[in-house]
Amino acid sequence: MLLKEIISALEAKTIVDFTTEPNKDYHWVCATDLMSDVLFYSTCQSLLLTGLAKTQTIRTATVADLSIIIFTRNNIPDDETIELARTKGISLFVTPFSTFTASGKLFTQGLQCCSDVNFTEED
Amino acid sequence: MDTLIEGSFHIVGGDFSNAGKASTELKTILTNCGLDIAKIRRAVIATFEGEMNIIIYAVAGTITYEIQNGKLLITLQDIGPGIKNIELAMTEGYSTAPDWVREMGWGAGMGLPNMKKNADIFKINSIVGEGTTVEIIINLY
Repeated sequence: MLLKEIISALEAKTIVDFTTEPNKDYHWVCATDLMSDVLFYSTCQSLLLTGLAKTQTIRTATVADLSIIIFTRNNIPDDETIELARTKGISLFVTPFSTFTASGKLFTQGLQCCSDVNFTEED
Repeated sequence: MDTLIEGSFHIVGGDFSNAGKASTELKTILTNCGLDIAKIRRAVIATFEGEMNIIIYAVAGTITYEIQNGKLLITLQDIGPGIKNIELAMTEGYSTAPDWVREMGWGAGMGLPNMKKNADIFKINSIVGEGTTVEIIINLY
């Protein structure tokens, strides 16, 4: 699913956008508020769907090589968090839907949970 | 082979506002060294978990790193309560974190298991009432 299709499906608004590959296909989603789960289960090809709009979310995404975060239920991060995302080159979007509903919308479009997939290191 | 790079970070217990700062700085350093991206990811994920453990549980701690003889060694040492039962603490999902830590997105009981998962060699030593030391080695070649 292309990012623009994901953004459209979630009726999401752009906070900061550093994406350079508009036609990149996304297959995996990491949907959680637990940053420990992000570190344990995510792959660098996932996009992060979360309600936790804090600086630690940006740092977690940075460490896990996740370049796109979609905040759910209109949880717009504060200026410090947005500025940190800018310095790390992480794109931020916000959707009015809850994490549950947003996950459902993406699931029905064929996206899968990142923890359901076994990746090798080279992936 | 001589040590190529080395350095350290000081971590203050309870300092959630800077949570992950050391690990993201380490990522920048390792990236500038030209290391393999997948190995950097493993190293900084393990470091981030350890950094969070220091912030959540300890009074203070240090993270040191060095690259020597084709290996990246990361040592996380804290002054804190220590771990009573390391085997139990290594169990996925086991956590002693308070609710307010969980509400911040941490304390799910995946920290130590994830550090081990991402390390080629993982060592942990803890003394109750004194603190915990974790060593992570990642083979670079």
